[in-house]
Amino acid sequence: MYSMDQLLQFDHVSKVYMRGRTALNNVSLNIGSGKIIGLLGTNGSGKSTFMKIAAGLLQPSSGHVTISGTPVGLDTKSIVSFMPDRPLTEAWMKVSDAVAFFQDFYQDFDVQKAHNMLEFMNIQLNDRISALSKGMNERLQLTLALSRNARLYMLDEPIGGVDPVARGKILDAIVEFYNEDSSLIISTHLVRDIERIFDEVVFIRNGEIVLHDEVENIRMKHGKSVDEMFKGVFAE
Amino acid sequence: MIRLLKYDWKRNSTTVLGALVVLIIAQIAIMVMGFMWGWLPAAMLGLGIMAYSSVGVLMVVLVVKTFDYNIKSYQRRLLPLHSIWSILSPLLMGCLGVLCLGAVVLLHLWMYFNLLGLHDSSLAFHTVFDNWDYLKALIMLVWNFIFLMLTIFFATAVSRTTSSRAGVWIGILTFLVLHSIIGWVSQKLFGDGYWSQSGSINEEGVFFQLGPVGQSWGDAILEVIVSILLLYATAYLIERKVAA
Amino acid sequence: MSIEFDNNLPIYLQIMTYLKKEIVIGKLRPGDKIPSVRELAAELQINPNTVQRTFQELEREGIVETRRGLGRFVTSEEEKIMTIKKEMAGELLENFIKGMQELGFEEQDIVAIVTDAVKP
Repeated sequence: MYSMDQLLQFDHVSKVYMRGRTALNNVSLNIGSGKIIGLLGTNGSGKSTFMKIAAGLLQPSSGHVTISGTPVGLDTKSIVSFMPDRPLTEAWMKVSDAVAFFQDFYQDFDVQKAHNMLEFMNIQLNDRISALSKGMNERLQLTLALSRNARLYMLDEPIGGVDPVARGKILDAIVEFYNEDSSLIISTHLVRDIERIFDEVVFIRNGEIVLHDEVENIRMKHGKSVDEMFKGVFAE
Repeated sequence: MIRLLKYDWKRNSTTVLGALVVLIIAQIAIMVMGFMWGWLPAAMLGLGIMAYSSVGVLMVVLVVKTFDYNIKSYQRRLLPLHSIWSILSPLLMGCLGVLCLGAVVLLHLWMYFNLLGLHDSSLAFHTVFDNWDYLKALIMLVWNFIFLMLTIFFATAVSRTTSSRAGVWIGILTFLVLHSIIGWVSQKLFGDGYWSQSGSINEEGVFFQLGPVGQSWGDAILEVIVSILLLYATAYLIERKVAA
Repeated sequence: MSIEFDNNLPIYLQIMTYLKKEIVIGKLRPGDKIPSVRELAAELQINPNTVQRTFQELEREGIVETRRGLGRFVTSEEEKIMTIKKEMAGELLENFIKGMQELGFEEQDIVAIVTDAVKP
């Protein structure tokens, strides 16, 4: 479908959880380099499962996933930066400990970028992480994830549980600090606030891809915003 | 691994240091009270050993909790490191802990015998221990600890392959079955009892038989083989099967 | 700089229109440097590739030119800017006339109404 060189490839991937729930059903998808992709779906549609498989946290029940041609595993973990729905930090840590942790384990971690981003986010290095508010913590997690020079970034619901002010700040940071040579996948169900930063969107419903297109195409072809399109597809 | 160890230690340092302070206070209290009121050396030793044992148990619990946390934590699972390191790091932390604790216990014993002249007839220790035995006892202690931890780690990893509540019971069952099998194989092959240390306190005094005294080479080799298998099986479970 | 975007229309077209207007009304003068893709994307909170596309389209139309190593600049050809101005006026007029015709006004009525409206 796209002539761009392929960064992330899902090839007939299914995931069935132990109790028999199907989270992904025969998903095939190609994501190119240098794009911001919205992974849009309601809760439980399979967004998180998709990302966890690409990040190497979950094994697919069937199918293959490759990143830059390498099967997902130990090797791809060093080129994928994932901000999951659970913190990348520990409760005992100060912000400085979290930065040191990333610096210790990820060769592509850019300390200078992390410091710039923390400043942008109004987070102090000696803040205790357990004392940060939800919105602040979200900003910290985003900082840690984006401060790596990865090939693929994945953010799971980065604006999910935060107020509109924090939301604006997070969007600013994404556009400001995102590395244009890599790709960025953002999962969300809040489409309206964020649709302008996407190149492409992928609609996922009940574990299946129902639409994958460039956002400007959607606006041109249907004369609709992505948000309206989303509501149309997901209205039951 | 040293870097993983650093963060494992940082997470647990407060608890460990706290326990250490309590332990030192308890030992001093036992000694002081013992001498003031003229307790039997055997009673002092018994109390002291109880204090040490509880710290030992706490240490085992902490190491298992650390391991359990690490194999579930996304922060750890996303690191571009082979999963074998998430076994070896808490194991090394535990070993260092046991080594420290063991060294303190032995130092304490040595003090009792050699400085305070406590080798009266109620203690049978000096008949079992010479200086070389102190070292052997320490090595066996560490090895037995490693082996025990590897079996617990494996059982923990098995219990985490399901996110349901039955996980805990599956883990306990795995642990028991694993030890029964190893015990059975060991007995079939070498005949002897499986756990070779034993200690008893009777009216004649404290009698200890520790580590190397009763352990055969066959047992040791079997344990090493089983350990290596467990290490890889656990690493496989972490990589492929533990629920995310 | 601020644009009220309409998410129902392609964003790059909206930025194009906006920049053309800035040029026509002289806020951006011939030969002025225009912001980089990154700056504009961050400022408008939009996708950098969208801004890139806007600039490409503007370049294709000859309104913006890239000077190697220096950045992008508004064209210094005044006629070019005049052409855009006329184009934009044309679009406005077209829409206006179409609207009036839909309301049922004839050619001379429309002219009369406009003449009337522009009188001081």
